[in-house]
Amino acid sequence: MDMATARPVERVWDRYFLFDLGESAAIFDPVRLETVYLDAAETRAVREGDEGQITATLSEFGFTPGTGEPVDLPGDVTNHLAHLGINGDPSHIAGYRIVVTDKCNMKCSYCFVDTNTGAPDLTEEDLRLGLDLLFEVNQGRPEVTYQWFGGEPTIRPDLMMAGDHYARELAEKFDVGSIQPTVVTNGAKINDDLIAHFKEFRYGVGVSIDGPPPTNANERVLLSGKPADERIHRNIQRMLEAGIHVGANVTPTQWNVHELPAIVDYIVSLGIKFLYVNTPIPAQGTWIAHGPDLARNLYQARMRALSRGGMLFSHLDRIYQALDSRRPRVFEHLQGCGGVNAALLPGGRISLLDLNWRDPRFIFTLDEVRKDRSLLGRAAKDLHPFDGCKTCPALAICGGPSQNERLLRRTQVPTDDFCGFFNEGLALAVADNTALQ
Amino acid sequence: MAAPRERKDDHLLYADAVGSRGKSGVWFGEREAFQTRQHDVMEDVKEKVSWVPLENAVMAVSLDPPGIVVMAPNPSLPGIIVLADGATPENSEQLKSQYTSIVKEVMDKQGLTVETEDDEAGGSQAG
Repeated sequence: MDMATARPVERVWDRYFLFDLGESAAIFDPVRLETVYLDAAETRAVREGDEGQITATLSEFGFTPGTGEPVDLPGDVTNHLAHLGINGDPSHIAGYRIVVTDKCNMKCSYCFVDTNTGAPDLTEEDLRLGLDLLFEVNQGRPEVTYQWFGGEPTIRPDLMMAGDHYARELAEKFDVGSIQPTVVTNGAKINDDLIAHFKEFRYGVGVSIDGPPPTNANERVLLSGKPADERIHRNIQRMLEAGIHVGANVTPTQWNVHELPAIVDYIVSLGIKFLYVNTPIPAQGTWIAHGPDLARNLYQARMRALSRGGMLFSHLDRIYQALDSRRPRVFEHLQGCGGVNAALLPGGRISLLDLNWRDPRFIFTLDEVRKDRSLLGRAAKDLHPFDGCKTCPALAICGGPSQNERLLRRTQVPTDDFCGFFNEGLALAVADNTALQ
Repeated sequence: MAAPRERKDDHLLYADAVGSRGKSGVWFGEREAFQTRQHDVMEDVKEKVSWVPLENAVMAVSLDPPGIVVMAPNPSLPGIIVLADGATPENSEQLKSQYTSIVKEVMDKQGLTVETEDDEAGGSQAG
């Protein structure tokens, strides 16, 4: 079967979708996220509308003919979410993206951060007060995670080191089992002191790489315009030799989206076995990768990573997870524990959105957040804001564009790339029932 | 016969990009811990079944059709065992046929006699 042709081709009883899998097919309930694989004879019965035969078969799996009432898929998803006890209200701040500085030694056009504006860095006092709040609200939990972010956070190793030592003190004070610092870095400024520090605090280091040097050079070069690949690769080797967990963060662009499977090979050749492909961020108002192409290439890259003894995670996994667990994934801001990851900003402020640090509707002082937990609910988006959502098979998986996406694009209406990604990704995930990852 | 999608609730990473542990590969770095647990599970499984080690086994990952194929030298006979799981019977059959052909092609090239028969486990054996 050509994966590119696996699309929902028919509606069954108005509310289900039939995905063509060659002679056989899969029938998919977009509300309960149930998928049932039909053999060739059953598929023929469904296609030929042999209701007597298919009703018995499908009712066994909870697929029932309509009642004649108009179908309201968004309303049914809302009811199903209520039944499952899922709402978009975060239980607590689960972690931080700590915005240390906006200074960066690179200037990638797809970056959503305004870098090198001359704005002040985080102060040590900002950091301590912010961490105080994080550990207060996570008292007694087994682990607290936070991520150092910039600009390029390794421009301020002093703050990272001071923050980690303070977090360790707070973990003891608030009976938190362990801390898990991570950092998102371009890898160009990693030195011996940082490596020793990463090792001491068991860091996870996510190095941003978009592919082999010629591909990487489309975006990821130093401010001078020169590439830094050799230096970055040396630093990766030094970290791996020191036993540090190193992953690669790949940003999909028009330059590399068709190369993603080959990029897996390249990154594995550097000794990195874990890849994270970022969700496209419409920093310039639109995705810079074609949505359906991205889904297809992620699918192949994911399998390629598995066949190389590695793993690749991406937004495609949101779709797999929804199908495998039958659990809607409409609220992407919620972490597995039910909390939200916020951004800790200079000036004692917090943004409830980890990728948007300007909109005053989402930015609060530490004290405001401490006093009014209900503010966290503002991170939740309105579901299904767009007419197209009403008939979309992925409506219980994406729920419409994220708050971050809406703010960056200044509209609730998704792009064709966004919807194309989820529709194509769903078709691919329905066709792949191997539950490999 | 109609069959539901395999249920899986143990996804290790949650959905979005903000999960620090996932994004930085922390979780993957911790796989030693689960590999130790897998080893312990297998030790207990071995207590409950008759078994022989499958040495030099490999798992191939197929994109089209999606699925996995485990290939291993038969520990007691000359052939190579090919076990395919493509999630649907149609895909599994296709994978079994496709990968058995690869094994046969290799054996042909090496001048070895090839005979194929289905084994009881639903896999194929080339050799």
